[in-house]
Amino acid sequence: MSADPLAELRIRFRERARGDADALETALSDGDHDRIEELAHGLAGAAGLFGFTEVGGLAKVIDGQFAEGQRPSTAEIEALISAIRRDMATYS
Amino acid sequence: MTLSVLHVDDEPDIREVAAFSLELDSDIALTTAESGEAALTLLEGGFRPDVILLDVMMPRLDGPGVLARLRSLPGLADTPVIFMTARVQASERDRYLDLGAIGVITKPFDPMTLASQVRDLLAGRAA
Repeated sequence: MSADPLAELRIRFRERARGDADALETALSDGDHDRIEELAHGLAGAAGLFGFTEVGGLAKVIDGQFAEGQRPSTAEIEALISAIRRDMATYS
Repeated sequence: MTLSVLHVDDEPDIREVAAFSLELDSDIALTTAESGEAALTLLEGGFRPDVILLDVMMPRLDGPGVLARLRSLPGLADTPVIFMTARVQASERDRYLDLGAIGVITKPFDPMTLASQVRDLLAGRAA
């Protein structure tokens, strides 16, 4: 048994999150706010489970803005995309 | 005594971590559903869990929608429901409680304490 029972799930999450970063970039360039909300909401719930606290925190801020009927800025979404790419590339 | 738990969430990652977490408690018997519709299919088929953990935001049929519909099914009028959500604004939390949930668990949850959070909410309801 692995010392970290969540290790396998974490590896799979990293792959999924990298895909989410690409999808966020596409949604941002398309102006597809529904898709951005969906992706941020998913990351807000899941990233922290695997120890990706910065990604989870940034996603949570964006998700919270949608919940309040506001729209996040382009800079905030780009910051989330950058954090995903950085953390999912270096986390081990 | 075994506690039968139905966990409903459209995110596979969260279902799997929740399964890992809840199964740390050997007295929990877990059933999962990947959508609100799948949960209702189980419940309409006669499945009667002791508690339902319900993700709020799911495509097509969200958590509050599932709660409204399951309350009309026989034997489910008083089944405890706990919402799970990444949205932690106080107004949202109050709204979920007003809908009849016994509690709200914030995502991300702590995998090591999820089972005890569920049991604490159930104990608070019984008190």
